Amino acid sequence: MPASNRDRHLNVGFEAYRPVRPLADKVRGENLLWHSLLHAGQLDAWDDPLHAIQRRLGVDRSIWGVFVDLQTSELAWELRLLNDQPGAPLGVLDPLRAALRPWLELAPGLDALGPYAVLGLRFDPSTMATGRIEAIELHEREPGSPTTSVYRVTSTTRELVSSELLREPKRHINEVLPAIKTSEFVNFTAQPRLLGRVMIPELFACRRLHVAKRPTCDSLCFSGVNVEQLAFTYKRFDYPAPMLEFLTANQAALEHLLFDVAIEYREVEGRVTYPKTGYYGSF
Amino acid sequence: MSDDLLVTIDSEAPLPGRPRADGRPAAVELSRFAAFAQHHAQAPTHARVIFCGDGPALEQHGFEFVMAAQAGGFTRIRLDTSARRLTEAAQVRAVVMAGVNEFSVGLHGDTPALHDALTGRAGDFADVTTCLSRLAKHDVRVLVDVVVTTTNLEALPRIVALAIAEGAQRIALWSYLADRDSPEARALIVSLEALIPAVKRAIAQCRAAGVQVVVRHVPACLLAEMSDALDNGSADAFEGIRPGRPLPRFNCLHEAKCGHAEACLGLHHAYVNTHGWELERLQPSPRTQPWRERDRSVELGAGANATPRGHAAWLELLGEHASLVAGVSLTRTEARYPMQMPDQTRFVLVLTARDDDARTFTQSRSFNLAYTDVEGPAAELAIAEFVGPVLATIAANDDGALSLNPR
Repeated sequence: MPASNRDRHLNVGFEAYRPVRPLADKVRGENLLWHSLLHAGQLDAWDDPLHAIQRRLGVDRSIWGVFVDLQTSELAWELRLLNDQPGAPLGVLDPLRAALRPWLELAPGLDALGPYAVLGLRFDPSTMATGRIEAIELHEREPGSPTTSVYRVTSTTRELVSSELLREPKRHINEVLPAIKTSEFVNFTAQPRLLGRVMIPELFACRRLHVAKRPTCDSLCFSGVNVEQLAFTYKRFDYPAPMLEFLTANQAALEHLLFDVAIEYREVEGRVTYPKTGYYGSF
Repeated sequence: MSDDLLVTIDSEAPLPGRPRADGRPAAVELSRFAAFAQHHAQAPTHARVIFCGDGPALEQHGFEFVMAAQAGGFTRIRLDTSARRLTEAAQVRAVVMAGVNEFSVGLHGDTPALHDALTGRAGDFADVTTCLSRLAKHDVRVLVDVVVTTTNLEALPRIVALAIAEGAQRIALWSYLADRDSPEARALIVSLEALIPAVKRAIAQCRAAGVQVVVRHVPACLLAEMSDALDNGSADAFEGIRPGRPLPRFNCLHEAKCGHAEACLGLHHAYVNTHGWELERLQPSPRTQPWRERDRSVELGAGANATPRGHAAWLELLGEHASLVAGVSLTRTEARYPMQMPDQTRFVLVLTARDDDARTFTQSRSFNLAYTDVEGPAAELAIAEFVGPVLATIAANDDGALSLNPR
């Protein structure tokens, strides 16, 4: 799928960026999404639903993420959609439900939502067989605030699953570091060296940093890294070989893009472990 | 732009700061350098040429490269090669007679066992000491490079003493940089806690002996009153050709808050992966100037002359398109030309030293060419069409006379 002059380039926070190389001979980043689905044997199941979302909401209006469970190497995916209908009772959930209706029920029974900025949904290889996605994630942020709260919502439950601070890693280092070091999952005071295992030096040179606190781990998202840094991520976290081969084969054609690499981490017996890592692009 | 020009005759020599030869294939053609040297004689841009090589190309063409450099008006001609090539008195005499007046030699131990283990070559220590004793008989400048690792840290005072005794006129102390981030490499990286006191003692030892000393790849803030010894500069590479693996990357969490940010590289990534970010140990000084994001992979020369020069030549590079730019802003690593399109879209055309490993729009003989900081309505294709003829003109006009500090 070639890149074109009509492409819009978004980071995971839905901020537009200028491509960092001319578009000649380049391809769209969503090729990585389709290849990840192909690798996991999920392309047939998700090709039509995802294209239905693209048709309904528009091209380059949504964010996709692919995640690798580092224990099992199994893949999982996330979609994020900007709520561009804040006046509607359910916001972007309505058109999203309509787009997915032939294949999936989305948050069945959920009929009222407060204001939110972004709607997220997650799926894995088992999702399509169930015919439904019970929960959605609502990203809520105060206007002008650098923090976002993410709630997982079903028709009967609403739980806080992530609190995130979004800052520039270098310019706002005095805010970023305390946020990272205030952790229930890593004792940075006892082992200052561990900061280098989460603030990964090869990814530190990014445009935005999302510092997230979750119920079972902490997370960082290095937003605005280039394809070279993405390839580093693949190697650093031993992504499945076919995925690395695909990225390597297409690396030059993806150089115009910036990606958002996310790592989940916690300390186990004095070492930082990474339950899940992944990255985002727009489609 | 550096005063030094690196010319890679072949990629088989151990590089200063690297105990072992671990290069990728790279070589400059003699004819291209000779042509450049002819031009250089008329309009000198560099005072020193540094020839690097240790293979068949050096054997076959080394003397011709040196003769071309002499004719090209370089006042200092340095040779970086293996000590084993300079152990015979006749060899050394011939090289000196040919015009080489500086030699750099790696000395990483005070015993054969220690040095040879780091270089990976049995007998290398004996060759180095023989080489140094041969060079001492000539009126040449001898530079000794010492790479400080966990295995030779304790011996550093003795290594420095040996280098001084063998006639070193300048000693460079290098913090070990791993070419590859492997467990073996990490094991050689000295923590700052141990490195800094040892390096400071070595600086004092050199200065007490009247020997020039420079320190490479150490955070500036930790050298304190000795920070004038820090030198992170690097030679311009002829035609962008540089042996060895791509230069390592550095970062520092204090960068945006530290007054040393423009002169200090920070910490090597492999260091961070081994010892962490050293937040508590580093001592950032308050900034007096606003901080601006820059590429941390670019090396800067601490205390070096960063005064722009030759602006006219940089504008002439654009030929007829020079009228399109608002001017040129020069640093040691970049030439930046602000441009504006008819639809008011503005961007900056950026030239950096040619680097075949770097991602870029296009290349000329000496530069990577790209544009950045786009503001305005124009789409990418329109910008590319607008800037294309300018880049083509630069490529046509770039005869190698201008250069920038590489990464």
